[in-house]
Amino acid sequence: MQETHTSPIDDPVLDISGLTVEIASGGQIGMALSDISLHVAKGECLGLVGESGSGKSLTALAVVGLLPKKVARIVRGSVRVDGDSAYAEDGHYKDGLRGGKVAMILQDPMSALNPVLKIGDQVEEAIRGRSAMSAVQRRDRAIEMLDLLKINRPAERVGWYPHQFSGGMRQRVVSAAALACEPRLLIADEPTTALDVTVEASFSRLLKQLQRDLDLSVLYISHDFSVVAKMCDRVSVMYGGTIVETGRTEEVLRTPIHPYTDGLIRSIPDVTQKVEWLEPIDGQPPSIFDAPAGCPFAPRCAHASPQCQTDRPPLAETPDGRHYRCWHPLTDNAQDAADA
Amino acid sequence: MPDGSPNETRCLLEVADLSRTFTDRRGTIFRPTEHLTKAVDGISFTVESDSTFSIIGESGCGKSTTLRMVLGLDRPTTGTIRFDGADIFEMAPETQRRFRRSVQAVFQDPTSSLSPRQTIGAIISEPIRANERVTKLDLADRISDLLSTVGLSASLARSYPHELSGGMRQRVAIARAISINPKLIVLDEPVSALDVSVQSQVMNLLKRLQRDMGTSYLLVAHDLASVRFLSDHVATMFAGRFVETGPSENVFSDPLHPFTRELMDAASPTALTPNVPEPADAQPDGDAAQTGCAFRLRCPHAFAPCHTTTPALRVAAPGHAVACHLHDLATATGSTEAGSRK
Amino acid sequence: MRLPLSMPMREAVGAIRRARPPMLSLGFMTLLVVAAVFAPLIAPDSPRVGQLSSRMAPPVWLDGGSVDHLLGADQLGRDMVSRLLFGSRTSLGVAFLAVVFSGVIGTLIGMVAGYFGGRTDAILMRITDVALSIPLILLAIVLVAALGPSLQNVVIVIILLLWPYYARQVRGETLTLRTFDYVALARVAGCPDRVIIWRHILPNVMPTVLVIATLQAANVILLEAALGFLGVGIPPPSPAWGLMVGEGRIHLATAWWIAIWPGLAIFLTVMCMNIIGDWLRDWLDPKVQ
Repeated sequence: MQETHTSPIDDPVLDISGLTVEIASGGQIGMALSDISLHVAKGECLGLVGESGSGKSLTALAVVGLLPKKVARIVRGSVRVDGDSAYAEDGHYKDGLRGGKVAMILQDPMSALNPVLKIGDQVEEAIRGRSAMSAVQRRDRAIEMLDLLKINRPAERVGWYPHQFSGGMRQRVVSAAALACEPRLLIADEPTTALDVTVEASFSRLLKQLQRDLDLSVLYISHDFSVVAKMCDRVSVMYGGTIVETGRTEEVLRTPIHPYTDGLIRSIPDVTQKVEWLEPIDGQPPSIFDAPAGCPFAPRCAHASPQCQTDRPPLAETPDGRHYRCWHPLTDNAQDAADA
Repeated sequence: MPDGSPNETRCLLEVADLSRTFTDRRGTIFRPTEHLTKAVDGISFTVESDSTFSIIGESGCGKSTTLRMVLGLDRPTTGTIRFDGADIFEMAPETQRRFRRSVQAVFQDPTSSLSPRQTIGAIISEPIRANERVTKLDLADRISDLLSTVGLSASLARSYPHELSGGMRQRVAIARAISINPKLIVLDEPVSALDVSVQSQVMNLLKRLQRDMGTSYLLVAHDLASVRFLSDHVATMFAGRFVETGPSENVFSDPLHPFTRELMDAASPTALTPNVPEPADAQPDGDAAQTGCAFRLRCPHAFAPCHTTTPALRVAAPGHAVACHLHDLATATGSTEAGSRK
Repeated sequence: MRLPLSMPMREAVGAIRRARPPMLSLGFMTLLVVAAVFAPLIAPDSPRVGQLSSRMAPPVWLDGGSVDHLLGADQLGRDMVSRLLFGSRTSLGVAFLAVVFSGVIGTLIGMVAGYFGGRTDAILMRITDVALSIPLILLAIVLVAALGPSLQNVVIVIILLLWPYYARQVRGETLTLRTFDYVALARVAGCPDRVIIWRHILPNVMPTVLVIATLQAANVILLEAALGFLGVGIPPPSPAWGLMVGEGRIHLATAWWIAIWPGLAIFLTVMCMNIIGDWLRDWLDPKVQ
């Protein structure tokens, strides 16, 4: 985490700008994502933190073109991968992007693997048709990938079935398949949530090391700030379908600007000390179908003013390049910027 | 008890030498073989009144099986579980009823622990209706009392679970558990299915209820921070055995077993710790665990005796016991057998 | 139940069009039930006593047909419309009784087997397997032949044949339901087993039972018709559709209407019941909604 990527950079691998997505359910229409802008530079890991319903997974689905067609619609905004728009003029996701430049790993490794196919075949599947490799070369490549993911005795393990692996090992197999086609961008959607803490630690460590070695760009989605703290160079915090704050991970953790970020960090219990009471954020996250007119966090915010109830805060920037959406930012330098 | 108990505590739940072995049939239809898996392997602990005993460990270590046996949902292969002095599997019907009134549970997934076809009111009042004769009017009063106790609006009594958010559902599950003032509530990962900002709400609620009602908790969780927040006593479980037990603060401030330390390292919010060796593929299955320490394949400090003999749980400090050869080595002389621990 | 954003009107029209076969079927079945209930009031003639003068009278639109017998008359001069109306009472009545009783028996056995498991389950399911492995129609013939043909015996035989289908399906669902946390919590709360089965298992298997019942009703009508056709069903002169087809068979070349109308009635009823059953399955499944 020594070399830093300050924004904005010249050629982001992923560039989302102004993305707005509507969702229809039960006859209602709600704004699931409103005006999402983010970018991931080459070799950078951007964390996307939020609770369920905040829109973080929907953002990931928009990047890989897997938004549920019948219920979700991109209203505005663009998604660019390596400078090219991911969506064609007619709104169709471009062929060959997913599984080519963009790969994805998901929360549940078991459902990502076909239980009746050997894992070697499943890793090979990812490269079949993408390169003119012979069967032998493909097999070698699969073994090489398993080895890269630190799976012991890969030449033997390619013949194993998914149920013969533990959860953490399955997630490595899934990652091997995802990385086999040498993607530029990896979307990791809560890859360690289903794993035990100890397994989570070793998988995160491996992913971090691979990300550095392969100079991979990663969009890392999680509900867990402590995982993001270990993995990500920068972090965007989502709430109620908007990005409320973006900045370098340690800065966001140390001096959060948005009251929601602050509340979220405070509410995490600390294993290193005994506390009498925790500091939760009162109330419940909003439903996208009756979202507040103003700031989505206003109903739960201790700093909310009448303005927060009625007007959506615009995207603001601090002098040191952090972004936030709040009428009453918490830190002094942000305050100065707001006053200016 | 080996350590001087601070004030007068009463032993509520007494688990002694509890084991549960599962038999699964493998092999072919013509040559069936039976495979034994020791899910729980000789654990002993006590839960005192007005306190919280927690078990931490990885998935599949036997935590949940232990809880199911304490709840009477599964029978132990060997060992006893005594509640208020009476063996829960050998109870007369009258004692059995009293036991049922005294122990309730909250499970991990509030979606599957609330029947989708019952109203919140019916769900909360289920234990009351099963154990008491009450009039409809009294029942309605108690339901609204319970809802307000867990911080929900009384008007929710007529709603159905799917109309509520995850955090609210877990509050409903807690309201059901406290509805008949049980002495012990078994908590199986009570917050891990909830959003971060809601987790701390529910944990505060659990702590407040314990303070107000004097209920004991038997907690199982993999999130160490929430365990530290709620617990008085902690046991670390690995491959069906307790590898470390002690007062919560002692275990958390000075973890003795390498596995407890690994859990703590993984849970600490600091940056990646680079020097821990990659764990082997999985924890050893039943066969490998038969001889030697089950943790040896993942242990950075494993040495000769770890491969041959299973370490016993020995007292290392007042009330604090650990099952590790390293520690036996360090205190080679003067160590006391912890067999009759608490 | 989700309405897309684009062109909601077209989607709505499509939804109605997709829903039409079940609605038509429901309409037809309602009509049939009403007709069966009010048969004595609607029917122009007696279904049992005919006039020999109108023996094999053709339907009204054929040469020699008369308005007295809109769909013609049979070999004994009995009015086909009246026979069909009264026949629907028999067919639907048998279907209703058989389905309800076999449903209750099968559901109970299935829930008990699935909930308690172990030896109870093994014994009940072996009995079910045996019952399922007996060829339906052959056993029906033997049983009715042994007990003597009567409406009551036909119903009993059909009940004996149908309950295993419910039992097996319900047992499977109960096995899954039993593992749900809320069932474990009900046990922890101290609820007796019968309360758990009644309150937590039964409401959750009801949708499945309803679907099986609808599909089985169609089967019962066919089975009753087959028994009647083979001569071991409800004895004549009671009007029953299967019996009517059987009796009309020998006159097919000269008076096709005697066999065709009841045949058509059986066909339409069975098809409607099947359509309703399929629709019900989708409609009651929360995943599809």
